Order: sequence, then C-alpha cells, then structure tokens
Amino acid sequence: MSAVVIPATGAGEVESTEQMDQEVISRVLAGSKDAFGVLISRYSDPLYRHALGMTGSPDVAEDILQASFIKAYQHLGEVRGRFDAWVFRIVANSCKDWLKNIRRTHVSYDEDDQPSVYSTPEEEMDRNELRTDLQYALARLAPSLREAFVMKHVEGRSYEEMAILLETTVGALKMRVHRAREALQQLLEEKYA
Amino acid sequence: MRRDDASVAGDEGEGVGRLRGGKKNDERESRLMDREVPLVAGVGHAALHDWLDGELDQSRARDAEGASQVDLWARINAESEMLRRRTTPMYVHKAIMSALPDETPSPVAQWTTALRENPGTIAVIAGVILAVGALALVMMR
Repeated sequence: MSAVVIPATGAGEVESTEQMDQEVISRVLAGSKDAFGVLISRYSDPLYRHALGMTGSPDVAEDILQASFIKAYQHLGEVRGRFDAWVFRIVANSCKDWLKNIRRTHVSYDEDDQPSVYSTPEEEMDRNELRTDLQYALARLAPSLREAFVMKHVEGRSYEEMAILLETTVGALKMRVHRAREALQQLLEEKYA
Repeated sequence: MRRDDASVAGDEGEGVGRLRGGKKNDERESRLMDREVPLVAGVGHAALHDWLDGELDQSRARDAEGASQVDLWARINAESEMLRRRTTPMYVHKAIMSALPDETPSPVAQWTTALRENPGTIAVIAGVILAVGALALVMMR
C-alpha cells in the first residue's frame, strides 16, 4: 500500500510517515504550537489541489484549507490512525459542504501562475478555452463524481489510495470515475471531439 | 441523491449553455450519474477507460474508440497535469499558523478506547443493566 499524500513505495515507508506524524502530534499536544507547521508543510499541497479541483476557485480553496487545518489543530487529540487520511476527510467534507451551499457556480482559474508548456499563442488560447470548458463541465457533475474525477485525474491518485481516503471500495470508485468521464465527454465532445 | 445547488444554480447564466444540455438534460444526467450500478463490460468506451486507467496502450484505445476521443482525453490529461503541479501559496502557510488558537489541543480519551483498555468495566456496566432490568420487572409485577 502506498502512502496517501506522500509518495512511498512500501508499507515500511507508510509506517514511518505515520510514526513521524504521531511524533509531531505528540509535540503539539505537549504544547509546541510551532510543531503543527510541520504537518501543514507536509500535507498542504495535495489538500490544496483537492480543494482547488473541487471548488475551482483559488480563493475558496485557500479558505477551506485554512479552516480545515484550524479544525484539525483544535481536534488533534482525537486523531485515531493516520493523520493524512483524517485531515483529508476534513478538507473533502468542507469542499462538499461548500458545493452544497453555494448558489452560484464559482469557477475561476484566472489566477493561474503556472508556466505555460505551450509554444505558441494559439496553443495557449486553445488551452485556456479547454480549461474553462473543463471547469464548467466539472461544475455540472454531482459532488461525488466530481470528487472521484479530481482525485483520479487532477491529484493522480490510485484507486487504492482513493478507497482508503474515502472509505469505500475500489469498485465503487471506478464506477464513479467512469461515470464522471462519460458525463464530461458528453459535455465536451461536441465542441472538441 | 439530491443534485447539489452548485451543479444547477448559475450554470445557465455563466456560459455552460455553450456546452450541451439544458436543465432537463441536467436532471436526466444527474439521475443517471448518481446511481452506482455495475458497468456492463464492453459498453461505454471500455477501451478508453482502460487506457485512462493505465491498463491499455494509447494506440489500442485509438483503434477501438477513434482518434478524436483519445485526442480529447489526451488534452484533458495534459490540463489535469498542469493543475497537479500547483502548490499552496506561501502566505497561506503563514496565515494558517497565525490563525491557530492559543489553547493547546487536549488529548481526548474516547469512551470506546477506555472500554477496550479496561474490559472489567464492560462487565460492571452489563451487571448494572441486568440489575436495573430485573428490578424493573419485579416492580411491574
């Protein structure tokens, strides 16, 4: 089994990561607030990408990440088992709550500051158009399908990792990912395929 | 499962109309998507899914599904990989640390853990329940 958010190659590394997390948690519970920064540095990137993929908004993703880590800090004494899976569930539930509560679809990747891999302005325009359309199409998926698609395609997780994090079966997740792909394809193929 | 507001509200007015489908289609798609029923082998772009799951070569997926479908998903994958490289802005780390409450979180002993660690407690609780039940029976007579 591989580590959920820190890539690992064997069970030994998972145990080691878990052990390191437990040591940090013990330090925090003993009064070292700064030690919590280790957990933030270790896990914020994959959690941020999940929130970004689910909400489509960098601002919302940052807010969710901050609120989730504060909640994790306040309830740190309740962690049973793996911290990474526990904190992922806090973020994932926050994202789903946000999706349930919003009245408007908030889609904005306009703050993308990633370097372009496209060589011409035409390719860059095509890429921007596809990105926008993909986000609009993702926004139309049911939260459970969107979550499965984001975890598989954006976060690049294996079905086994997803099953651990979402506490469900690999088979159920494959179905969700397949249905998400089918739905996205229906929405996008008329224009692109 | 109820379709979420995010998937419905705002779609019409924010440009999704240029993609396919209206509200009726949304509802039909939602009903179809939310049910987890077994996928029938060989139906619904099986080769495409196998390729996207890393179980099939792209060339074989192209033969089975057609170039346009595979090219579309290759572009979607490229875009997904761009998103995968995004990292948390540094100011977010600092904002989280400065927003943490001053109180040290306290270790919480869950009652289930306490019971596991003291099996005798279970026997005592069971005895009390039985005693109360027997007393209640006597009183009812």
